[in-house]
Amino acid sequence: MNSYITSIIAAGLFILIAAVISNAIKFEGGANPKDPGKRKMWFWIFAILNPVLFYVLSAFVLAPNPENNQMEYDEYMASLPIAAGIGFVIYVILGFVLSKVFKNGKLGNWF
Amino acid sequence: MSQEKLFVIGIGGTGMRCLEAFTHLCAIGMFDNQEIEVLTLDTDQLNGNKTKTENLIELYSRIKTSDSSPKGGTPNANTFFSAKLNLHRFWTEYSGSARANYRSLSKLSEGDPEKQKANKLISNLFLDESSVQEFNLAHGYRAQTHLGSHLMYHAIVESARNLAAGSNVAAQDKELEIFMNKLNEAGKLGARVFVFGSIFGGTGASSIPVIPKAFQDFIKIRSGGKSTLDFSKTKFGSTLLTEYFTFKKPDAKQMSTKDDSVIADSSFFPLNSQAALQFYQNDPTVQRTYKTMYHIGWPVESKKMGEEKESNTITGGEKQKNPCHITEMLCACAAYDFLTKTTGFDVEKADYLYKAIEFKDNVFNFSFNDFVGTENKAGEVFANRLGAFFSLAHIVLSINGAAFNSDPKSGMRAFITRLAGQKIPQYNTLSDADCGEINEYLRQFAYTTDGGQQFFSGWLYQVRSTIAPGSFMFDSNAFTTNLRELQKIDVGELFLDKKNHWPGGGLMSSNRFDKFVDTLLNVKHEESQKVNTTKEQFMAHIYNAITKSQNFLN
Repeated sequence: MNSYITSIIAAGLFILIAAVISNAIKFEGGANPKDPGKRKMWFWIFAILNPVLFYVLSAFVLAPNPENNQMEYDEYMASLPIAAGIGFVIYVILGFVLSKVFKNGKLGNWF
Repeated sequence: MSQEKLFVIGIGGTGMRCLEAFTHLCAIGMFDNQEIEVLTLDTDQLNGNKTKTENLIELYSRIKTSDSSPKGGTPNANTFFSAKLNLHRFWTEYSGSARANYRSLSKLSEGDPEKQKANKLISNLFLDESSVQEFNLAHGYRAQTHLGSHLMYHAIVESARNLAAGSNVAAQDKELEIFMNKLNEAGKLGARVFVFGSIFGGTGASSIPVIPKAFQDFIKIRSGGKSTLDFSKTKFGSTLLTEYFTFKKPDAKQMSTKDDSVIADSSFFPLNSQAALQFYQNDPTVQRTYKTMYHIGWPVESKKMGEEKESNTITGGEKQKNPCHITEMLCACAAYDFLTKTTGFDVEKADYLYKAIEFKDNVFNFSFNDFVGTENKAGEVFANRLGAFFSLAHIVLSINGAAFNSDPKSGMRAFITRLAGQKIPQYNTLSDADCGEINEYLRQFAYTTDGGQQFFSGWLYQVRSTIAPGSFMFDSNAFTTNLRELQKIDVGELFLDKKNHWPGGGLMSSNRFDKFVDTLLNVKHEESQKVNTTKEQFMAHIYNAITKSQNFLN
């Protein structure tokens, strides 16, 4: 259960970081401004980083000690891929919602 | 703003450049809710300044025109290109040997011997026989105002007679008639007419004194005596623009031909101005027909026009394309005063107005208030609108690259691309041609380059150069001609007063342009701006974003 909560928190954290970075990317002038593409790129970079980092951190830092309870550890490790997937989906859904809410702003470039 | 119908007339080369400045005042939005009838009047149909100004007004009108609007668009408020301009052109016909000079035009050799003798005597009394009666009129009156006034009056009256008779009616007669019909109609309720021209040169100086009377007589003749101009309802104003430029002195070789037996010599311009001012001070017709005259001059050494390499003095024609000068901008501002003021018309004799500008340490220093005064916050309105248009020019030309390349995606189109990218798609229907015309106008207003190689000054830069290094409303960095600096220019810092600098974006985005785009995405046009077409709404949208960024009240 802990891993699912952690993945949701991670997804929220990563979407926040993606939003901060997207807002920090300045609007450019000119015929072919690159800034919308950069925002989109950072959104998807964090979309990938979110499950990867979540998995790595959960597996190597947050995981329970198998020597104490092997069964708990196995259950925890088995839940991680699913939690990472859920985190990814939640990240994308949150991104989509934010992009539509702030459709005329910088976050609107995500979708 | 006046409820009376407005008319503006540019006469001669200098008058055309004043009209060019006036058109730019309209473009920045100084004449809200107005439909202005514009007449260009010249002896020289091919004059470079005339062609340039007419092309500019036509470009202005194309910018305002949309498929769903009448030609020239409709008047708007608080936006760029707010006034509607209707261009009319009239030029005197001096082509062909029968009309090329005074002698042939006046038919001095026709009629019975007694009549010929009388005509010759009276002509010789006022006009030098071997020079003034002989020179080619196609390039104007060449500072011979005694001849010019006579011939300009004749040309206008002749046009009325031809129209009344229905014979020998030329295209320019028809255009003049449309203008005069509007003047006649508007004059019944109230109209204001402002005349641009110099008093030191040829065509303008010749025409200013006779224009009101000539127009009055045109209407009388054309209406068969049923109608006339009432000068208490149709109010005339004009500039008294004294000398402010010089050019190459004509040499004996150039003057040896009959066609060029008279060439305006700029060394006499101060004398011409002095004599003209005495005339305007004393002439009862001028005093009766004009309500206000704005005396505008250049009190320091006049600027030299034309290229040193030119072998001959340019008398007119396509080659006459003098750069713009701040005195012409002041003339346009005089027109603004005349066309917008609410008092000062209840006068028996013409009012002569002038003002002084700070001249310190050998340079002029111009503030916004020097151009339009402070009544009804005119100076603040002028600062906002000129600043907004200048900022727009820098964004379109440098940041969006329209001065550096001919890519149809650059310039104004880049705004549309940006808005569409931010899910504001309502301007997508504007064509590349629509955007290209606005780009072209801004190039003429500010500057352009030769594909990013060489810088060419537009109107505002030329005007500013006439008083450089004196201060000219904006920060001197706003007028950089360095191409690298232009591409990196901070358009939010054009004003001298920091309170009008565009805001930065704080921690998240520290650059002013970024914050401006953010503002652009959050404003839209308003009902009070009376913008109907997509193009008008687009311009109003940008105007509102810049105005908000400049911290002026909209």
